[in-house]
Amino acid sequence: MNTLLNEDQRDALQELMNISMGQAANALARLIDAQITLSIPKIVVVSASEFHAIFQSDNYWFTRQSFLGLVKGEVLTLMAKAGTETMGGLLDYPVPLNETSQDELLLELANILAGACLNVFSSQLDLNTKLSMPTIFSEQMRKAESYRWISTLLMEVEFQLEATAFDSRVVICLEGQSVNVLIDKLNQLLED
Amino acid sequence: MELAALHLKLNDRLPMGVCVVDAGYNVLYWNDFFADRIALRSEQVLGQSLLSLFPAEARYLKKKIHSVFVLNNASFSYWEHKPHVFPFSSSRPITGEETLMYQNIEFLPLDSEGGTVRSVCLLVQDVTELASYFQAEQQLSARLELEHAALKAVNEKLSMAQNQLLQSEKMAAIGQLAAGVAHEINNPIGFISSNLQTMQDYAGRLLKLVAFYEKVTAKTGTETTQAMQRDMQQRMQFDFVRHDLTELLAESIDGIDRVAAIVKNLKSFSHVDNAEWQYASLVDGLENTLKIAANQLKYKVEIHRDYSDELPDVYCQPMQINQIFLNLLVNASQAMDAGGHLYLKVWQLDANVFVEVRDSGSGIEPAHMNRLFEPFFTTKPVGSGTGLGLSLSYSIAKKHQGDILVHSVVGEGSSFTLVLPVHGSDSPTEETTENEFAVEGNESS
Amino acid sequence: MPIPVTIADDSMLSRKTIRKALPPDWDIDLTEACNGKEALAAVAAGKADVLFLDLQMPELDGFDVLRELHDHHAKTVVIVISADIQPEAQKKVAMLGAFRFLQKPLHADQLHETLTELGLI
Ligand SMILES: Nc1ncnc2c1ncn2[C@@H]1O[C@H](COP(=O)(O)OP(=O)(O)O)[C@@H](O)[C@H]1O
Ligand SMILES: [Mg+2]
Repeated sequence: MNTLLNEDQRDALQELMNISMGQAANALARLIDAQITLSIPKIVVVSASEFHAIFQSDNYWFTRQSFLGLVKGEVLTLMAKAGTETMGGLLDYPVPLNETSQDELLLELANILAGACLNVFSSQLDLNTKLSMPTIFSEQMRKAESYRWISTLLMEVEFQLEATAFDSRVVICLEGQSVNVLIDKLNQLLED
Repeated sequence: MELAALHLKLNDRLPMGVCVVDAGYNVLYWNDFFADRIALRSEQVLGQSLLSLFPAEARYLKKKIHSVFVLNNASFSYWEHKPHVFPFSSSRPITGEETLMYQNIEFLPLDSEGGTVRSVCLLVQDVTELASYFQAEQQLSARLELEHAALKAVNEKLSMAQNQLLQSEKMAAIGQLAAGVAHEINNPIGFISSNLQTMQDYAGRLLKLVAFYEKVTAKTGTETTQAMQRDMQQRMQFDFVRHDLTELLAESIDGIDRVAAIVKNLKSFSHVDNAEWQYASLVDGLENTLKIAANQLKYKVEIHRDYSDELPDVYCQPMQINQIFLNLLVNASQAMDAGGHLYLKVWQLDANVFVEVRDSGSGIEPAHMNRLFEPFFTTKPVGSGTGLGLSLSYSIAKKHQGDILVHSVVGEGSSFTLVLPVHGSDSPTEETTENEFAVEGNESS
Repeated sequence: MPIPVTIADDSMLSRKTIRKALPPDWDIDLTEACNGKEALAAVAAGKADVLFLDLQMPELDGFDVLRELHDHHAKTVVIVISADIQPEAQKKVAMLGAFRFLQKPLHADQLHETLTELGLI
């Protein structure tokens, strides 16, 4: 699928994502006192149109936030529409949610999941990234051709809240040059 | 040391609030952004609980800060959800409409050791300008949306009106065509009819003549001439002809009479004859229209007529008045889906003639009473109602200086009464009316 | 005599991290396993008096390995080192007889502390 990473690098990246995801899930699990099922992290290089396709789903809400440090990029969080009410209840939001409280919930969730994920990931590689505040994102109208890049490295983890419809995917996207920085860092980790 | 002092100075010049608290929510530091607005210097609030300094939002602040300590992860507060966490007044006391500052706040884990956060930093950003811009934008777009919806509604109405116009133009065209045809065949029908009558007369005479000859032959003829006559009559099947001829002529006359009646109906309903102002019988108009609407009424509705004697003709545009009758009759029949009674009453009171069309149908909701005559007001499903019938009727009645009165009881039925002044509005005196009529009569003949 | 120790983790990076975190002067005979099956084989072969065990692995996962060991009353000292650190996972692991639960990313001093507590060094 992609020749960007050799097997060792892929293994390392996957394990780092595993750990990040574990921390994020733990943060949320403690907050809502429930168990979260983790997936195997997905690491792929995607084209703009493949990336675009992610947002064509009607089943998710989306948020985005930027990060900046030794590497830069954006984190996208997808949250299943089907599970938002349940999640709101667990996080002590007044349900049924209205538009404002729903946005607030989505942003808080995204911040917990994406924040923990990225922070743990970045600290393991000393990438020193800082994450900006999440914002609601709706990209459905945009055309795939309008992106300024051709392909990007995408690292995705999925969280499922046991026994509910809630499911969330955190997607870390690296901007072109940052991929090389990441590979350098992975090599350092693998060498010493 | 130099640099640390410089840093503090810099902090105080920052266009954003900086406040650091420890795990007990006690303030360790805040910059001038806070100090200037609360009138308490950083040293004065050192060690004081942030929650008791801002009691109104203590719960919210506690929740946010707590989550940073627990999760070791930044948290954010957005003006859209919580605009005024800190009771700071607006930075635009002169030019702004708002009185409180809109704020975005970041809660950051500032320093932590081994995963345990020791202090949290609050960064407060004044986004008042952005917020008010955004809100104005939203109001604008809400207004645009409303206007857009209104426009759309108007558009729909327009296209409906256009349909209606097309429909009535079509009707007018058909009417004209019918009138033309009626006029054209009126003459042939006239002479066919009169010829047939003459022929009936002639045939009668011929038959009498033949009967006479038969008698003469019977009395005076020889065996031979009598036999010749019988033979000839048999060959010509004269007995049958004599019989059939009368019947054929009677049938044809009856047929042509019916054609003539239809043509007369067509003429009396079509515009061509009746668009002009003239004195006309409303009962005739109502009856003519009833024939047109018969299709709709025929089987399910029982019609009761109550027409006063000696009603005067009314000065009007008969075709237009027929249009009113048609609308009232169609509405009545649509209100009586399951059948019912239709009462038609025409009477005179002083200088007005009244035509009442009453049905035993569904009746009209009191709430709808005021809106009946509004253009496009309809309670009927798309396709069967345009909501133009009554408004059109009303405008015709007004043009005639008349009126339409409504009375209705839900579940019992409705009554619509057309009131028309016998002589129209600027009703001229009797004599001039006569003159005018005479002139018109001349012109049209 | 060196202690037989096995590290069971599907990730090469994780095995390396654990290996490097072990006390350098600890006298051990080290075996590495990439999945649950290999881990059990190591136990059966007497190569795992101490087992560092990851939870998410292909073939048999860490929970399966623990269950198996539990059922056979194996005397292996199991130290779970896992990325899934939710309370629920920790509870389950404890019930299945693991001695300790360590979080990934693994810190060498935490590992030393644990080994000392267990009297292994
Ligand atoms: N005889 C009647 N009985 C009950 N409702 C009536 C009657 N005549 C009119 N209405 C009400 O008035 C509305 C407007 O009538 P009209 O202007 O003729 O438009 P339309 O018949 O196309 O709906 C009707 O939709 C109906 O609700
Ligand atoms: Mg109508």
